[in-house]
Amino acid sequence: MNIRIANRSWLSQASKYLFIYRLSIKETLYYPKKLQTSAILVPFRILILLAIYTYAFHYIGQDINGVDAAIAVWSIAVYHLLLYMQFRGVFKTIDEEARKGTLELQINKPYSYVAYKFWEQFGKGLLSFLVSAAVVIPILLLFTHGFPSSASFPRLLYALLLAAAGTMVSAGLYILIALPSLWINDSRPFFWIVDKAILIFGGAYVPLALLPSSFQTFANFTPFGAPMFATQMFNPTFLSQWPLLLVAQLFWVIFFFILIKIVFQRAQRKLSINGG
Amino acid sequence: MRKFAKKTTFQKFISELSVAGRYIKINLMAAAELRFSFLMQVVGMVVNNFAFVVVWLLFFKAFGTINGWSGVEVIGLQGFVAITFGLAFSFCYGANNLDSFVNNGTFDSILLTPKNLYLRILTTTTMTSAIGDTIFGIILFAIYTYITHASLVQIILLISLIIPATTIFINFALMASCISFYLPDSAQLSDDAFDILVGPSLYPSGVYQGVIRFIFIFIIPSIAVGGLPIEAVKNINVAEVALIWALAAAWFFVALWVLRKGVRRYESANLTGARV
Repeated sequence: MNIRIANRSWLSQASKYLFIYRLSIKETLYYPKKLQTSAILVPFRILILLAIYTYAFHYIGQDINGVDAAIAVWSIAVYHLLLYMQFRGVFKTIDEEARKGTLELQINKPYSYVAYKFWEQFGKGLLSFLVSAAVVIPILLLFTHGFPSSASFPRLLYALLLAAAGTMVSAGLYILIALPSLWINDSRPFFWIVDKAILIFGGAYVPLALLPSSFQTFANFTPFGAPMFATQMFNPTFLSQWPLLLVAQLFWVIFFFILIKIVFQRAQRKLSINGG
Repeated sequence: MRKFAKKTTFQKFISELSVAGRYIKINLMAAAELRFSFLMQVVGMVVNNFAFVVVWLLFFKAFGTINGWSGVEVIGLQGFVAITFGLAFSFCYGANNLDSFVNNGTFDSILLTPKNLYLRILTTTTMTSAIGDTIFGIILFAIYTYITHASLVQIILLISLIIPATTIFINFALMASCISFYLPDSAQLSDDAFDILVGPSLYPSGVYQGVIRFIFIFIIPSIAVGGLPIEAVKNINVAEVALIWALAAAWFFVALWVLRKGVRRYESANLTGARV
């Protein structure tokens, strides 16, 4: 009996958050202008980086660590596409709600505030990701003459696993740095620092395989590289490395889950709302 | 009589500048009122910008020198762009915010101010974090001139080029914001248009060749606000210096023309509210 009640309660919880997820997707659909950045800016950035890397590799006339122009640009494109599925935006939402005072209205409702923001952000990113991918992938296929030479089905499969786990790490990281907004006036500087650390160690502009080995080690063993491990899918060493990368990601997911729970409890105690 | 008319015009010009100066002063004082937040934003932006220097230094560590561009030039480029961007938006962030004034209906009150509309728009708001950009730019600027053993002529030339580069930044931002006169709810599109200028300006211009270089000088002036000044000063190229000044003048007049056309299309939002 108890098990049945527990199951029903779990199902009701899950359906509640799935409803938020669906609602968030629908909201993006009703405001298609929000998608125009995905269709314009990311493809534009990828095109420029494509030109830069094609020229740079042509200039030196050789590969670097088994990475050529196509692999470099595809890795960077994966980074920028994954960014939509990840949780950069959740920081802005929580930070703004805390500063405007609207957080007060949500924190008393019968759901977990953090879980609500997680599912809401997850829904927001999906369509942007799809739109951006629909524009970027054909561009890359056209200009790099197909997929990179190292691409294969197993690599794609492992990369999907890493992308999913990386999304969870990113959620943990961005929610954690957003929580100080509940008791300090402006936590944006934390965001800038973490965001740029991910930019460097995730390979936003220079793929990880082109970085010095000390940077690669740092990226693989800190939470700053973990959200974007999937960008390494075309690297020559990826097939031997991916299990270790996945273990590192799972460690960070658990670590952030525990830390967020503790910090959120403390934050609620110290909560200072700016009017509302 | 002619003398009197000339004096009046000059006095009018000084008066406009003095009012604009006062607006800037008030904006900066208002931003500095929340001292902790102000300092956090300034310091945070310095750290944030450092990431882009690291990224491109790593790029040149992997590729070596390309078309005369190496890590040293990147330091100069990032410093120069940070100073121009910082100065532009520490004082004239209104150029970037015009779209929100039009969309929110608050443009009415700016339009009715008995002062020069162009200057009034520019000086309406300030961007606190842009002060951090300026500080960061000055630090890099000093490092660059020290590393390259820049001569006095080169230093003066580089400092003087800050004026046209800042002019281009401000007027391009203003033109991007003017989209709101033509398309409703176009704040995101304006931001994207401005990002299209800023993004490529941070990339080393040595890798832009041929058609791409032409586009990024004359159509989207990204190289004109970053790479070109560095190249012009490095080689003491008078023709390139003249080109940057000519581009600044051109963007200034084009922005004025677009603004005038846009304002004619503007219809009052009939927004009522108190202004304090």
